[in-house]
Amino acid sequence: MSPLWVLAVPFITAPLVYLARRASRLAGPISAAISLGLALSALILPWATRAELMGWTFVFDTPRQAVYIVLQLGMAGLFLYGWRISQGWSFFPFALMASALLGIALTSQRLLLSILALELAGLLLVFLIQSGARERTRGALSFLVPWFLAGPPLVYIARTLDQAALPPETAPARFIAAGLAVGFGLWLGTVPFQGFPLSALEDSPPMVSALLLGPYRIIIAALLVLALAQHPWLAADPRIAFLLQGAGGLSILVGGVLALLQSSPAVLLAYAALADLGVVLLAVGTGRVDIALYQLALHLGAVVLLTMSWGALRYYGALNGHHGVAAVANRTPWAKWGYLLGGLALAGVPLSGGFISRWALARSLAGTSPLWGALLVGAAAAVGLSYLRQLNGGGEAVVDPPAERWVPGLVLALMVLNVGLGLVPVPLLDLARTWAQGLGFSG
Amino acid sequence: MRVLIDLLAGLLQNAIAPGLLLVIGLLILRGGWRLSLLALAAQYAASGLLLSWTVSLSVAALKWLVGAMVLFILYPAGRRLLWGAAYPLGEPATESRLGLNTAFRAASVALLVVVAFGLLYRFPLGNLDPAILFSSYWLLCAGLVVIFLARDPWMTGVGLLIYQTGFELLFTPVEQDLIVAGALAALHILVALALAYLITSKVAGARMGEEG
Repeated sequence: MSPLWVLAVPFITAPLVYLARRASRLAGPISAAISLGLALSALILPWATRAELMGWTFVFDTPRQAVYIVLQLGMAGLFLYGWRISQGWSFFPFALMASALLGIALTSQRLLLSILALELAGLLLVFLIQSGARERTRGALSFLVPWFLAGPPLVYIARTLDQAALPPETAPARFIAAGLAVGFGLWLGTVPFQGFPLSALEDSPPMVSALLLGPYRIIIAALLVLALAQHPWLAADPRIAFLLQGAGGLSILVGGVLALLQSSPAVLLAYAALADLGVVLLAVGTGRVDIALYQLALHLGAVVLLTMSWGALRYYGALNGHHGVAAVANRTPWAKWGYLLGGLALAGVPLSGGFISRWALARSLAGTSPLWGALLVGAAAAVGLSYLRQLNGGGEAVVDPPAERWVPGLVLALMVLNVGLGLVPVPLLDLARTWAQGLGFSG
Repeated sequence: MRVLIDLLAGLLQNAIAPGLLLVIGLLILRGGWRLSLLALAAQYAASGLLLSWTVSLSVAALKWLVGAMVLFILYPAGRRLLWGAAYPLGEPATESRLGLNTAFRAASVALLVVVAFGLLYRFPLGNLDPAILFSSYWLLCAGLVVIFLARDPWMTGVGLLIYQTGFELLFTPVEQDLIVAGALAALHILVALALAYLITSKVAGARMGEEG
């Protein structure tokens, strides 16, 4: 069986799920089963191969396989959650289509097709952010405009990169390096584009926020790493390293400082995720691609745990007429602890998986300046404190949360996963090192 | 068919770029749903004709097909929801979010023309016809200005479609692959669908707010 089927299945099944979109009891399990099936197929199919379609090559090597499996497992979790707590009628079919496009973006050998697939996936997200009849369209529009405007320059740059091996010290090479940095920076929402996803996150249902901060960001960051792997002159260019380190360092700093000032869970999530993403960029800029890949996997786990717990607290809080996350926290201890653990994992405090990557990075950068270590520790402390503070105060719950097993089960499973990755990080670190070496990076 | 298209393109050769300039310039000045749809129709027709000079007819015809689909999606949204009798949100896009007047918009259009000519002079890319290059630069710049001046989903979406068409006038001659052409077409259609969805959602939300 051709591995192209793995990419085609979500496209084929999304229309069927669309027909069943108003029956979440049907659409949710079907979507989750498809994603789990795809993750399993990716595991057992003969990968480490290439497939051709209309002259375009799709690469199924070990690093892409690993990212694809993580992506589909994450999607399955989002679908299972959406099955029990509604994320809008359009969530299942559109998220399924988005996962198909993200899969194409990940496996396409040419960056041009990857960028086009990502741009299309971003447009699908507009429907999910709006998610129903609401007079306010600011969130969806504020996401749509920058996402779409960044597309054409990135498409042009990707085609130029695909077509020719450019000598590094020429004007086109400098243009490509700068364009890639700006385009990917915008799509990732790093400093100075950190305001881009804020309105979207405030207006989105929690699982759409998870989709944007989790799978989308992971695929964009993975594409950045793959582009560096495919074009060694880009990876060797000191300007690229400087830009990545600069964007990473500033994202950690801005994310940490602004997280301290936030009371809105959505905005806090945005800045906490920004600081965590900064660690990924800093790792790539420092040449520690293994740490970057490890951190990306942790990022997805922490974001999904955090958004699921936040969504549950918000949902049960709304039943009680409250809007803060603290309102029903004592009646739903699993959600409270999930929220706290997710926040601390995203912060990268000691005993979390994120601490390992920060520690390794601080050691790698110690020779450059001790300030890097202080920055990493300071941002982790700021984000961690912000999450601890979030659960203080709030109203008193009157209505008990509905009897529910799936959502607490999902949150508990993710808590175990996040704690496990923090306590036993070596297997994932070894895997990340293997993936990085598979891409041609030493570290 | 090719002969007919060539004949039409030859007849309009000197009129396409000025026509685009006029229609999009008017859109920036006046706004409004009818002018928006007219401007979109003009840009898709013009881009197809311009591209027919340099690429295969099937690729150029795809622009017309996409344009027809975009208009087909947007027309009901514009007519029935945005400016129809049932629309509760008033007439948008006749003035900018900054309350800027027609004189500012006219100055913007004049400046844009200068910028488009400046880009044509500074970046005469490859062997592309100056009419294609000017139209492309003009649409790119005008699209950005329409987005900047927009205060509602409708004009924002129209600006995005103009900007994307401007880019494709430059990009299609260098990349004519079928999958890429299909993906670019899908971008237009998805933007139009997203736009129609946002307007529908906004109007339905406003009605629910009024009733509730």
